[in-house]
Amino acid sequence: MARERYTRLLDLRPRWRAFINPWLLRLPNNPERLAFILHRTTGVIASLFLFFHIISTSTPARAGWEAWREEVLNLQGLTPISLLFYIAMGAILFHGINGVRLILAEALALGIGKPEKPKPPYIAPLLRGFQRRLLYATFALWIILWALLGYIMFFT
Amino acid sequence: MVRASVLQLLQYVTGALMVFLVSWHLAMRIPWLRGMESFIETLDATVVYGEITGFGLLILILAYATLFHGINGLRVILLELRHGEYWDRLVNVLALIVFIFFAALATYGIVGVEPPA
Amino acid sequence: MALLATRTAKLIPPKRVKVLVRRYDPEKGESWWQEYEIETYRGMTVLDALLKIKEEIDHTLSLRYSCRMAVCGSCGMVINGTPRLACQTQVAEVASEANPVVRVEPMYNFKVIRDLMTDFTEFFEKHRRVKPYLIRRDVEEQENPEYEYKLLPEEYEDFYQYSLCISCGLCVAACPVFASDTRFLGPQALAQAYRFIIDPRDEGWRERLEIVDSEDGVFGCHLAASCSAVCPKEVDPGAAIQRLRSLLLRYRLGLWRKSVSGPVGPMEKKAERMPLPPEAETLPGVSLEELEESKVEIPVEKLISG
Ligand code: SF4
Ligand code: FES
Repeated sequence: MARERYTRLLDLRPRWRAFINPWLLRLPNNPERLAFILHRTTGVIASLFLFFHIISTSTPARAGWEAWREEVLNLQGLTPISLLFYIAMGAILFHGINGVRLILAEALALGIGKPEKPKPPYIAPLLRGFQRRLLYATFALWIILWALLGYIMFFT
Repeated sequence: MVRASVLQLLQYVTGALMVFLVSWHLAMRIPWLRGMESFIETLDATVVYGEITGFGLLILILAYATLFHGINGLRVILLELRHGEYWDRLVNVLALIVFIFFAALATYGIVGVEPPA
Repeated sequence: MALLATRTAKLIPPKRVKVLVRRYDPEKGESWWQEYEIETYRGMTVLDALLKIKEEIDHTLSLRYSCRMAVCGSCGMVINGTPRLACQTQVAEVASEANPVVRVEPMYNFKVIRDLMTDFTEFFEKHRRVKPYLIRRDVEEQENPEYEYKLLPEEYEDFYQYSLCISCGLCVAACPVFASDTRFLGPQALAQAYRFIIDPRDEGWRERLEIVDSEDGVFGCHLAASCSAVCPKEVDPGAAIQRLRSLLLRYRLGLWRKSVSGPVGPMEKKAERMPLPPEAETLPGVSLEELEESKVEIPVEKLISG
Protein backbone atom coordinates (compact mmCIF):
# COMPACT_ATOMS: atom_id res chain seq x y z
CA MET A 1 0.00 0.00 0.00
CA ALA A 2 2.63 2.46 1.07
CA ARG A 3 4.77 1.45 -1.88
CA GLU A 4 1.93 1.91 -4.27
CA ARG A 5 1.36 5.46 -3.12
CA TYR A 6 5.06 6.06 -3.29
CA THR A 7 5.34 5.29 -6.96
CA ARG A 8 3.35 8.29 -8.16
CA LEU A 9 5.93 10.99 -7.87
CA LEU A 10 5.72 14.44 -9.35
CA ASP A 11 8.62 15.44 -11.55
CA LEU A 12 9.26 19.17 -11.50
CA ARG A 13 12.65 19.09 -13.21
CA PRO A 14 13.03 22.08 -15.53
CA ARG A 15 15.12 20.01 -18.01
CA TRP A 16 16.59 21.95 -20.93
CA ARG A 17 14.97 25.14 -19.73
CA ALA A 18 17.79 25.36 -17.24
CA PHE A 19 20.18 25.73 -20.19
CA ILE A 20 18.55 28.81 -21.62
CA ASN A 21 16.55 30.47 -18.88
CA PRO A 22 18.62 32.63 -16.52
CA TRP A 23 15.52 33.49 -14.49
CA LEU A 24 14.62 29.95 -13.58
CA LEU A 25 15.94 30.40 -10.06
CA ARG A 26 16.72 33.56 -8.17
CA LEU A 27 20.30 33.08 -7.17
CA PRO A 28 22.06 36.03 -5.61
CA ASN A 29 25.75 36.50 -6.27
CA ASN A 30 25.95 34.00 -9.11
CA PRO A 31 26.88 35.54 -12.48
CA GLU A 32 28.69 32.28 -13.25
CA ARG A 33 25.32 30.76 -14.01
CA LEU A 34 24.64 33.44 -16.59
CA ALA A 35 28.08 32.73 -18.04
CA PHE A 36 27.24 29.03 -18.15
CA ILE A 37 24.01 29.67 -20.03
CA LEU A 38 25.74 32.02 -22.44
CA HIS A 39 28.62 29.59 -22.90
CA ARG A 40 26.17 26.83 -23.84
CA THR A 41 24.10 28.88 -26.25
CA THR A 42 27.09 30.57 -27.85
CA GLY A 43 28.75 27.16 -28.15
CA VAL A 44 25.76 25.77 -30.03
CA ILE A 45 25.60 28.85 -32.26
CA ALA A 46 29.34 28.68 -32.89
CA SER A 47 29.33 25.02 -33.86
CA LEU A 48 26.38 25.48 -36.22
CA PHE A 49 28.21 28.44 -37.70
CA LEU A 50 31.29 26.27 -38.05
CA PHE A 51 29.42 23.80 -40.22
CA PHE A 52 28.16 26.57 -42.50
CA HIS A 53 31.57 28.17 -42.50
CA ILE A 54 33.29 25.01 -43.67
CA ILE A 55 30.69 24.52 -46.38
CA SER A 56 30.96 28.11 -47.55
CA THR A 57 34.75 28.36 -47.43
CA SER A 58 35.13 25.21 -49.45
CA THR A 59 33.32 27.00 -52.30
CA PRO A 60 36.51 27.94 -54.17
CA ALA A 61 37.54 24.30 -54.24
CA ARG A 62 34.06 23.01 -55.01
CA ALA A 63 32.66 25.59 -57.41
CA GLY A 64 35.48 27.89 -58.37
CA TRP A 65 36.36 31.48 -57.51
CA GLU A 66 33.44 33.06 -59.37
CA ALA A 67 31.02 31.45 -56.91
CA TRP A 68 33.21 32.66 -54.06
CA ARG A 69 33.05 36.25 -55.27
CA GLU A 70 29.25 36.06 -55.42
CA GLU A 71 29.15 34.63 -51.92
CA VAL A 72 31.35 37.34 -50.49
CA LEU A 73 28.99 39.99 -51.87
CA ASN A 74 26.45 38.78 -49.30
CA LEU A 75 28.71 40.07 -46.56
CA GLN A 76 29.00 43.56 -47.96
CA GLY A 77 27.00 46.09 -45.97
CA LEU A 78 23.99 45.28 -43.86
CA THR A 79 22.34 42.17 -45.25
CA PRO A 80 20.55 39.32 -43.48
CA ILE A 81 23.58 37.10 -44.06
CA SER A 82 26.01 39.63 -42.68
CA LEU A 83 23.80 40.16 -39.64
CA LEU A 84 23.75 36.43 -38.94
CA PHE A 85 27.49 36.41 -39.48
CA TYR A 86 27.87 39.22 -36.99
CA ILE A 87 25.79 37.35 -34.39
CA ALA A 88 27.91 34.25 -34.89
CA MET A 89 31.03 36.35 -34.40
CA GLY A 90 29.67 37.62 -31.10
CA ALA A 91 28.98 34.07 -30.02
CA ILE A 92 32.49 32.98 -30.91
CA LEU A 93 34.03 35.94 -29.11
CA PHE A 94 32.15 35.26 -25.88
CA HIS A 95 32.80 31.54 -26.07
CA GLY A 96 36.50 32.13 -26.58
CA ILE A 97 37.03 34.73 -23.88
CA ASN A 98 34.92 32.87 -21.34
CA GLY A 99 36.67 29.68 -22.43
CA VAL A 100 39.99 31.00 -21.16
CA ARG A 101 38.46 31.45 -17.72
CA LEU A 102 36.91 28.00 -17.86
CA ILE A 103 40.16 26.31 -18.85
CA LEU A 104 41.95 28.04 -15.99
CA ALA A 105 39.28 27.14 -13.45
CA GLU A 106 38.24 23.70 -14.65
CA ALA A 107 41.37 22.10 -16.02
CA LEU A 108 43.99 23.80 -13.88
CA ALA A 109 41.87 24.61 -10.80
CA LEU A 110 43.19 28.18 -10.81
CA GLY A 111 41.35 31.21 -9.49
CA ILE A 112 38.80 29.24 -7.47
CA GLY A 113 39.98 30.26 -4.03
CA LYS A 114 41.39 28.15 -1.25
CA PRO A 115 39.43 25.84 1.04
CA GLU A 116 38.84 27.63 4.32
CA LYS A 117 37.03 27.35 7.58
CA PRO A 118 33.61 28.90 6.96
CA LYS A 119 33.31 32.34 8.45
CA PRO A 120 30.84 35.18 8.11
CA PRO A 121 29.48 36.35 5.75
CA TYR A 122 29.62 32.78 4.45
CA ILE A 123 30.36 33.38 0.81
CA ALA A 124 32.06 30.40 -0.83
CA PRO A 125 35.70 30.93 -1.87
CA LEU A 126 34.80 29.97 -5.44
CA LEU A 127 32.57 33.01 -5.67
CA ARG A 128 35.29 35.30 -4.35
CA GLY A 129 38.16 33.83 -6.34
CA PHE A 130 40.08 35.35 -9.19
CA GLN A 131 37.74 33.72 -11.67
CA ARG A 132 35.03 36.13 -10.60
CA ARG A 133 37.16 39.07 -11.65
CA LEU A 134 38.00 37.25 -14.87
CA LEU A 135 34.27 36.82 -15.42
CA TYR A 136 33.61 40.54 -15.19
CA ALA A 137 36.57 41.14 -17.47
CA THR A 138 35.06 38.62 -19.88
CA PHE A 139 31.81 40.53 -20.15
CA ALA A 140 33.61 43.84 -20.59
CA LEU A 141 36.06 42.54 -23.19
CA TRP A 142 33.28 40.79 -25.05
CA ILE A 143 31.22 43.93 -25.48
CA ILE A 144 34.24 45.97 -26.54
CA LEU A 145 35.54 43.43 -29.06
CA TRP A 146 32.11 42.76 -30.48
CA ALA A 147 31.50 46.46 -31.00
CA LEU A 148 34.91 46.77 -32.66
CA LEU A 149 34.07 43.88 -34.93
CA GLY A 150 30.82 45.56 -35.86
CA TYR A 151 32.74 48.66 -36.81
CA ILE A 152 35.10 46.63 -38.98
CA MET A 153 32.33 44.67 -40.65
CA PHE A 154 29.83 47.40 -41.31
CA PHE A 155 31.78 50.65 -41.41
CA THR A 156 34.90 49.87 -43.40
CA MET B 1 35.31 3.27 -25.56
CA VAL B 2 37.38 6.32 -25.03
CA ARG B 3 37.64 7.52 -21.49
CA ALA B 4 35.71 10.67 -20.66
CA SER B 5 38.86 12.19 -19.18
CA VAL B 6 40.72 11.78 -22.49
CA LEU B 7 37.94 13.45 -24.45
CA GLN B 8 37.65 16.25 -21.95
CA LEU B 9 41.40 16.77 -21.92
CA LEU B 10 41.30 17.05 -25.70
CA GLN B 11 38.42 19.47 -25.31
CA TYR B 12 40.58 21.70 -23.12
CA VAL B 13 43.67 21.34 -25.31
CA THR B 14 41.80 22.14 -28.52
CA GLY B 15 40.09 24.98 -26.67
CA ALA B 16 43.41 26.49 -25.64
CA LEU B 17 44.78 25.99 -29.15
CA MET B 18 41.73 27.65 -30.65
CA VAL B 19 42.10 30.73 -28.50
CA PHE B 20 45.29 31.46 -30.40
CA LEU B 21 44.31 30.13 -33.80
CA VAL B 22 40.90 31.80 -33.92
CA SER B 23 42.44 35.09 -32.82
CA TRP B 24 44.84 34.78 -35.72
CA HIS B 25 42.03 33.72 -38.04
CA LEU B 26 40.00 36.78 -37.06
CA ALA B 27 43.00 39.08 -37.21
CA MET B 28 43.42 38.11 -40.87
CA ARG B 29 40.14 39.92 -41.51
CA ILE B 30 41.15 43.18 -39.86
CA PRO B 31 41.85 45.46 -42.82
CA TRP B 32 44.33 47.79 -41.10
CA LEU B 33 46.62 44.97 -40.13
CA ARG B 34 46.88 43.96 -43.76
CA GLY B 35 47.23 47.40 -45.24
CA MET B 36 43.77 47.43 -46.81
CA GLU B 37 40.83 49.73 -46.79
CA SER B 38 37.81 47.60 -45.98
CA PHE B 39 36.69 44.29 -44.56
CA ILE B 40 35.39 43.08 -47.93
CA GLU B 41 38.78 43.62 -49.54
CA THR B 42 40.33 41.07 -47.20
CA LEU B 43 37.96 38.50 -48.67
CA ASP B 44 39.18 39.13 -52.19
CA ALA B 45 39.95 35.98 -54.18
CA THR B 46 43.70 36.59 -54.55
CA VAL B 47 44.08 37.50 -50.88
CA VAL B 48 42.22 34.41 -49.75
CA TYR B 49 44.13 32.21 -52.14
CA GLY B 50 47.39 33.58 -50.78
CA GLU B 51 46.23 32.69 -47.28
CA ILE B 52 45.22 29.18 -48.25
CA THR B 53 48.51 28.42 -49.94
CA GLY B 54 50.61 30.20 -47.34
CA PHE B 55 48.98 28.90 -44.15
CA GLY B 56 47.15 25.81 -45.40
CA LEU B 57 48.37 23.56 -42.61
CA LEU B 58 47.55 26.06 -39.90
CA ILE B 59 44.03 26.49 -41.25
CA LEU B 60 43.58 22.74 -41.37
CA ILE B 61 44.75 22.32 -37.78
CA LEU B 62 42.31 25.05 -36.81
CA ALA B 63 39.51 23.29 -38.68
CA TYR B 64 40.16 19.92 -37.06
CA ALA B 65 40.54 21.36 -33.58
CA THR B 66 37.39 23.44 -33.93
CA LEU B 67 35.42 20.53 -35.35
CA PHE B 68 36.45 18.28 -32.51
CA HIS B 69 35.70 20.92 -29.91
CA GLY B 70 32.34 21.85 -31.40
CA ILE B 71 31.09 18.36 -32.10
CA ASN B 72 32.19 17.03 -28.74
CA GLY B 73 30.45 19.95 -27.11
CA LEU B 74 27.22 19.27 -28.97
CA ARG B 75 27.54 15.59 -28.13
CA VAL B 76 27.84 16.33 -24.43
CA ILE B 77 24.76 18.56 -24.53
CA LEU B 78 22.75 15.97 -26.44
CA LEU B 79 23.77 13.23 -24.04
CA GLU B 80 22.58 15.37 -21.15
CA LEU B 81 19.23 16.13 -22.73
CA ARG B 82 18.07 12.57 -23.14
CA HIS B 83 19.06 9.19 -21.88
CA GLY B 84 18.81 5.72 -23.25
CA GLU B 85 21.07 3.12 -24.74
CA TYR B 86 20.04 3.77 -28.35
CA TRP B 87 20.09 7.50 -27.98
CA ASP B 88 23.62 7.43 -26.55
CA ARG B 89 24.86 5.22 -29.33
CA LEU B 90 23.10 7.31 -31.98
CA VAL B 91 24.63 10.52 -30.69
CA ASN B 92 28.11 9.04 -30.53
CA VAL B 93 27.96 7.55 -34.02
CA LEU B 94 26.43 10.70 -35.45
CA ALA B 95 29.17 12.80 -33.87
CA LEU B 96 31.82 10.63 -35.49
CA ILE B 97 30.15 10.74 -38.91
CA VAL B 98 29.67 14.50 -38.80
CA PHE B 99 33.29 14.96 -37.74
CA ILE B 100 34.61 12.82 -40.59
CA PHE B 101 32.35 14.49 -43.15
CA PHE B 102 33.28 18.03 -42.25
CA ALA B 103 36.95 17.22 -41.73
CA ALA B 104 37.03 15.76 -45.23
CA LEU B 105 35.22 18.79 -46.63
CA ALA B 106 37.63 21.15 -44.89
CA THR B 107 40.62 19.21 -46.19
CA TYR B 108 39.23 19.31 -49.71
CA GLY B 109 38.55 23.02 -49.36
CA ILE B 110 42.23 23.63 -48.67
CA VAL B 111 43.88 20.98 -50.82
CA GLY B 112 41.60 21.08 -53.84
CA VAL B 113 41.74 24.82 -54.44
CA GLU B 114 43.07 26.25 -57.71
CA PRO B 115 44.58 29.69 -58.33
CA PRO B 116 41.97 32.33 -59.16
CA ALA B 117 41.75 33.40 -62.77
CA MET C 1 25.06 32.01 0.71
CA ALA C 2 25.07 34.87 3.08
CA LEU C 3 22.11 33.55 4.93
CA LEU C 4 23.21 34.54 8.38
CA ALA C 5 23.87 38.15 7.62
CA THR C 6 23.83 40.12 10.84
CA ARG C 7 21.28 42.55 9.53
CA THR C 8 18.65 39.81 9.16
CA ALA C 9 18.43 39.56 12.93
CA LYS C 10 17.21 43.13 13.04
CA LEU C 11 14.69 42.77 10.24
CA ILE C 12 11.04 42.91 11.14
CA PRO C 13 8.63 40.91 8.98
CA PRO C 14 5.38 42.38 7.66
CA LYS C 15 2.44 41.91 10.05
CA ARG C 16 0.63 39.48 7.81
CA VAL C 17 2.15 37.47 4.99
CA LYS C 18 0.62 35.49 2.19
CA VAL C 19 2.20 32.05 1.96
CA LEU C 20 1.86 30.45 -1.46
CA VAL C 21 2.57 26.75 -1.36
CA ARG C 22 2.91 24.50 -4.37
CA ARG C 23 1.12 21.37 -3.28
CA TYR C 24 0.93 17.93 -4.72
CA ASP C 25 -1.47 15.12 -3.96
CA PRO C 26 -0.05 11.76 -5.03
CA GLU C 27 -3.39 9.96 -4.67
CA LYS C 28 -5.13 12.24 -7.16
CA GLY C 29 -1.90 12.95 -8.98
CA GLU C 30 -2.54 16.68 -9.18
CA SER C 31 -0.51 19.69 -8.26
CA TRP C 32 -1.79 23.16 -7.42
CA TRP C 33 -0.87 26.42 -5.69
CA GLN C 34 -2.55 27.08 -2.40
CA GLU C 35 -2.70 30.37 -0.61
CA TYR C 36 -2.62 30.87 3.15
CA GLU C 37 -2.54 34.02 5.15
CA ILE C 38 -0.93 34.12 8.55
CA GLU C 39 0.21 36.56 11.15
CA THR C 40 3.90 36.77 11.73
CA TYR C 41 6.09 37.57 14.66
CA ARG C 42 9.60 38.85 14.87
CA GLY C 43 12.18 36.15 14.18
CA MET C 44 9.70 33.85 12.45
CA THR C 45 11.32 31.49 10.00
CA VAL C 46 9.63 30.08 6.94
CA LEU C 47 9.56 26.71 8.66
CA ASP C 48 7.76 28.29 11.62
CA ALA C 49 5.28 29.81 9.20
CA LEU C 50 4.62 26.48 7.52
CA LEU C 51 4.20 24.72 10.85
CA LYS C 52 1.82 27.42 11.98
CA ILE C 53 -0.25 26.81 8.86
CA LYS C 54 -0.15 23.09 9.53
CA GLU C 55 -1.29 23.55 13.11
CA GLU C 56 -3.90 26.23 12.68
CA ILE C 57 -5.18 26.25 9.11
CA ASP C 58 -4.51 23.12 7.12
CA HIS C 59 -3.40 19.87 8.75
CA THR C 60 -2.85 18.16 5.43
CA LEU C 61 0.16 20.25 4.50
CA SER C 62 3.16 17.88 4.46
CA LEU C 63 6.76 18.81 4.86
CA ARG C 64 9.93 17.29 6.20
CA TYR C 65 11.91 18.87 8.99
CA SER C 66 13.68 17.84 12.12
CA CYS C 67 16.27 19.98 13.84
CA ARG C 68 14.98 23.51 13.10
CA MET C 69 18.54 24.76 13.24
CA ALA C 70 20.18 24.06 9.88
CA VAL C 71 21.89 20.91 11.05
CA CYS C 72 19.89 17.95 9.79
CA GLY C 73 19.36 19.11 6.22
CA SER C 74 15.74 17.96 5.94
CA CYS C 75 13.90 21.16 5.21
CA GLY C 76 15.33 22.26 1.87
CA MET C 77 12.79 23.98 -0.37
CA VAL C 78 12.60 26.64 -3.01
CA ILE C 79 11.59 29.84 -1.25
CA ASN C 80 10.75 32.79 -3.48
CA GLY C 81 12.74 31.16 -6.26
CA THR C 82 15.87 30.45 -4.23
CA PRO C 83 16.71 27.01 -2.88
CA ARG C 84 17.14 27.47 0.87
CA LEU C 85 16.65 25.77 4.18
CA ALA C 86 13.24 26.77 5.51
CA CYS C 87 14.50 26.77 9.09
CA GLN C 88 17.39 29.05 8.23
CA THR C 89 15.34 31.59 6.29
CA GLN C 90 13.57 34.35 8.10
CA VAL C 91 10.22 35.46 6.75
CA ALA C 92 11.55 39.00 7.04
CA GLU C 93 14.36 38.12 4.65
CA VAL C 94 12.10 37.05 1.82
CA ALA C 95 8.95 39.08 2.36
CA SER C 96 8.67 42.82 2.76
CA GLU C 97 5.96 45.27 3.59
CA ALA C 98 5.69 46.14 -0.08
CA ASN C 99 5.49 42.52 -1.19
CA PRO C 100 4.30 40.33 1.69
CA VAL C 101 4.39 37.07 -0.22
CA VAL C 102 6.36 33.92 0.55
CA ARG C 103 6.34 31.46 -2.33
CA VAL C 104 7.29 27.94 -1.25
CA GLU C 105 7.90 25.11 -3.70
CA PRO C 106 9.44 21.68 -3.34
CA MET C 107 13.07 21.51 -4.48
CA TYR C 108 13.60 21.27 -8.22
CA ASN C 109 15.50 18.31 -9.67
CA PHE C 110 13.95 15.99 -7.11
CA LYS C 111 10.83 13.93 -7.47
CA VAL C 112 8.04 15.15 -5.21
CA ILE C 113 6.39 12.64 -2.89
CA ARG C 114 3.80 14.97 -1.47
CA ASP C 115 3.51 18.74 -1.08
CA LEU C 116 6.96 19.91 -0.02
CA MET C 117 8.46 16.49 0.57
CA THR C 118 10.95 15.30 -2.01
CA ASP C 119 12.34 11.86 -2.71
CA PHE C 120 15.99 11.54 -1.71
CA THR C 121 16.48 7.92 -2.77
CA GLU C 122 18.44 8.84 -5.89
CA PHE C 123 20.42 11.48 -4.03
CA PHE C 124 21.60 9.09 -1.33
CA GLU C 125 22.16 6.40 -3.96
CA LYS C 126 24.58 8.72 -5.71
CA HIS C 127 26.21 9.68 -2.46
CA ARG C 128 26.71 6.01 -1.72
CA ARG C 129 28.13 5.40 -5.16
CA VAL C 130 31.24 7.49 -4.52
CA LYS C 131 32.03 5.43 -1.41
CA PRO C 132 31.95 8.21 1.18
CA TYR C 133 34.03 6.49 3.83
CA LEU C 134 37.69 5.77 4.50
CA ILE C 135 38.92 2.73 2.61
CA ARG C 136 42.05 1.00 3.88
CA ARG C 137 43.79 -1.97 2.39
CA ASP C 138 44.44 -3.37 5.83
CA VAL C 139 40.86 -3.93 6.91
CA GLU C 140 41.89 -5.84 10.00
CA GLU C 141 43.90 -2.90 11.22
CA GLN C 142 41.06 -0.50 10.38
CA GLU C 143 38.51 -2.51 12.32
CA ASN C 144 40.69 -3.06 15.38
CA PRO C 145 42.98 -0.08 15.41
CA GLU C 146 45.75 0.30 17.90
CA TYR C 147 46.82 3.78 16.93
CA GLU C 148 45.19 6.64 15.11
CA TYR C 149 46.04 7.58 11.52
CA LYS C 150 48.36 10.43 10.90
CA LEU C 151 46.76 13.64 9.70
CA LEU C 152 48.55 16.95 9.70
CA PRO C 153 46.53 20.10 10.45
CA GLU C 154 47.29 21.57 7.02
CA GLU C 155 46.14 18.38 5.31
CA TYR C 156 43.01 18.54 7.40
CA GLU C 157 42.30 22.06 6.25
CA ASP C 158 42.34 20.88 2.63
CA PHE C 159 39.12 18.99 3.08
CA TYR C 160 37.61 20.23 6.32
CA GLN C 161 35.27 22.58 4.48
CA TYR C 162 33.91 19.81 2.28
CA SER C 163 33.26 17.56 5.24
CA LEU C 164 30.70 19.99 6.62
CA CYS C 165 28.02 18.85 4.16
CA ILE C 166 24.66 18.08 5.76
CA SER C 167 23.19 16.39 2.64
CA CYS C 168 20.39 18.88 2.33
CA GLY C 169 20.31 18.62 -1.47
CA LEU C 170 20.05 22.36 -2.10
CA CYS C 171 23.09 22.27 -4.37
CA VAL C 172 21.44 19.58 -6.48
CA ALA C 173 18.24 21.62 -6.60
CA ALA C 174 20.18 24.60 -7.95
CA CYS C 175 22.34 22.69 -10.44
CA PRO C 176 21.37 23.47 -14.06
CA VAL C 177 23.03 20.31 -15.38
CA PHE C 178 21.14 18.09 -12.97
CA ALA C 179 17.94 19.70 -14.23
CA SER C 180 18.08 17.55 -17.34
CA ASP C 181 20.74 14.96 -16.66
CA THR C 182 19.56 12.62 -13.93
CA ARG C 183 22.59 10.39 -14.41
CA PHE C 184 24.87 13.21 -13.31
CA LEU C 185 26.33 12.43 -9.90
CA GLY C 186 25.61 15.94 -8.71
CA PRO C 187 27.58 18.47 -6.67
CA GLN C 188 27.06 16.84 -3.31
CA ALA C 189 28.34 13.39 -4.28
CA LEU C 190 31.27 14.81 -6.24
CA ALA C 191 32.29 17.11 -3.39
CA GLN C 192 32.23 14.11 -1.06
CA ALA C 193 34.26 12.08 -3.56
CA TYR C 194 36.89 14.83 -3.54
CA ARG C 195 36.79 15.09 0.23
CA PHE C 196 37.75 11.42 0.54
CA ILE C 197 40.15 11.31 -2.39
CA ILE C 198 42.44 13.92 -0.91
CA ASP C 199 42.10 12.64 2.62
CA PRO C 200 45.63 11.34 3.30
CA ARG C 201 44.24 8.49 5.39
CA ASP C 202 42.25 7.06 2.49
CA GLU C 203 43.53 4.32 0.19
CA GLY C 204 40.44 3.91 -2.02
CA TRP C 205 41.18 6.94 -4.19
CA ARG C 206 41.87 4.94 -7.35
CA GLU C 207 38.44 3.30 -7.23
CA ARG C 208 36.79 6.62 -6.61
CA LEU C 209 38.65 8.31 -9.46
CA GLU C 210 37.42 5.56 -11.79
CA ILE C 211 33.86 6.17 -10.64
CA VAL C 212 33.91 9.91 -11.20
CA ASP C 213 35.77 9.69 -14.51
CA SER C 214 32.77 9.86 -16.81
CA GLU C 215 30.51 12.32 -18.57
CA ASP C 216 27.99 11.79 -15.81
CA GLY C 217 30.66 12.12 -13.17
CA VAL C 218 33.01 15.00 -12.71
CA PHE C 219 32.92 16.04 -16.38
CA GLY C 220 29.20 16.70 -16.18
CA CYS C 221 29.99 19.88 -14.27
CA HIS C 222 30.21 23.07 -16.32
CA LEU C 223 30.99 25.56 -13.58
CA ALA C 224 27.68 27.34 -13.17
CA ALA C 225 28.68 27.63 -9.48
CA SER C 226 25.04 27.72 -8.38
CA CYS C 227 25.78 24.94 -5.91
CA SER C 228 28.31 27.08 -4.08
CA ALA C 229 25.94 30.02 -4.17
CA VAL C 230 23.11 28.20 -2.38
CA CYS C 231 24.96 25.89 0.00
CA PRO C 232 23.82 26.76 3.54
CA LYS C 233 27.02 25.41 5.08
CA GLU C 234 29.49 27.14 2.76
CA VAL C 235 30.74 23.75 1.62
CA ASP C 236 31.67 25.15 -1.79
CA PRO C 237 30.98 22.01 -3.82
CA GLY C 238 31.75 23.93 -7.02
CA ALA C 239 35.37 24.47 -6.07
CA ALA C 240 35.65 20.86 -4.88
CA ILE C 241 34.51 19.62 -8.29
CA GLN C 242 37.02 21.81 -10.14
CA ARG C 243 39.81 20.56 -7.88
CA LEU C 244 38.68 16.99 -8.40
CA ARG C 245 38.60 17.40 -12.17
CA SER C 246 42.01 19.01 -12.35
CA LEU C 247 43.38 16.30 -10.07
CA LEU C 248 41.85 13.58 -12.23
CA LEU C 249 43.33 15.05 -15.40
CA ARG C 250 46.73 15.30 -13.75
CA TYR C 251 46.42 11.74 -12.50
CA ARG C 252 45.62 10.49 -16.00
CA LEU C 253 48.67 12.33 -17.32
CA GLY C 254 50.82 10.73 -14.65
CA LEU C 255 51.46 14.02 -12.88
CA TRP C 256 49.71 13.26 -9.62
CA ARG C 257 50.23 10.59 -7.04
CA LYS C 258 48.74 10.42 -3.63
CA SER C 259 50.86 9.97 -0.57
CA VAL C 260 48.89 7.91 1.89
CA SER C 261 49.55 8.16 5.60
CA GLY C 262 49.32 5.24 7.98
CA PRO C 263 48.89 4.79 11.72
CA VAL C 264 51.18 7.04 13.73
CA GLY C 265 52.51 4.28 15.99
CA PRO C 266 53.37 4.63 19.64
CA MET C 267 54.46 8.02 20.90
CA GLU C 268 58.20 8.27 21.20
CA LYS C 269 59.60 7.95 24.73
CA LYS C 270 61.16 11.10 26.02
CA ALA C 271 64.81 10.20 25.80
CA GLU C 272 66.85 13.34 26.17
CA ARG C 273 66.38 16.84 27.30
CA MET C 274 66.25 19.49 24.65
CA PRO C 275 69.76 20.95 24.46
CA LEU C 276 69.96 24.55 25.53
CA PRO C 277 70.88 27.04 22.85
CA PRO C 278 74.62 27.84 22.99
CA GLU C 279 74.10 31.46 23.93
CA ALA C 280 72.01 30.56 26.95
CA GLU C 281 73.50 31.14 30.38
CA THR C 282 72.60 29.22 33.49
CA LEU C 283 71.60 30.89 36.70
CA PRO C 284 74.39 31.29 39.22
CA GLY C 285 74.78 28.21 41.37
CA VAL C 286 73.10 25.84 38.90
CA SER C 287 75.22 23.22 37.24
CA LEU C 288 73.96 21.99 33.90
CA GLU C 289 75.70 18.62 34.16
CA GLU C 290 74.07 17.93 37.47
CA LEU C 291 70.70 18.83 36.09
CA GLU C 292 71.17 16.48 33.12
CA GLU C 293 71.95 13.64 35.50
CA SER C 294 69.03 14.24 37.86
CA LYS C 295 65.67 12.56 37.30
CA VAL C 296 62.74 14.58 36.09
CA GLU C 297 60.39 14.85 38.98
CA ILE C 298 58.21 17.44 40.51
CA PRO C 299 59.00 17.93 44.14
CA VAL C 300 55.49 17.81 45.49
CA GLU C 301 56.35 17.82 49.20
CA LYS C 302 58.47 20.87 48.78
CA LEU C 303 55.67 22.64 47.01
CA ILE C 304 53.26 21.82 49.79
CA SER C 305 55.55 22.66 52.67
CA GLY C 306 57.25 25.64 51.08
S1 SF4 D 1 27.09 20.57 -0.39
FE1 SF4 D 1 25.93 22.15 0.76
S2 SF4 D 1 24.04 22.40 -0.45
FE2 SF4 D 1 24.97 20.48 -1.11
S3 SF4 D 1 24.01 18.89 0.16
FE3 SF4 D 1 25.91 19.50 1.21
S4 SF4 D 1 25.32 21.11 2.63
FE4 SF4 D 1 23.60 20.88 1.18
S1 FES E 1 14.98 21.38 10.02
FE1 FES E 1 17.01 20.57 10.13
S2 FES E 1 17.96 21.73 8.55
FE2 FES E 1 16.03 22.73 8.65
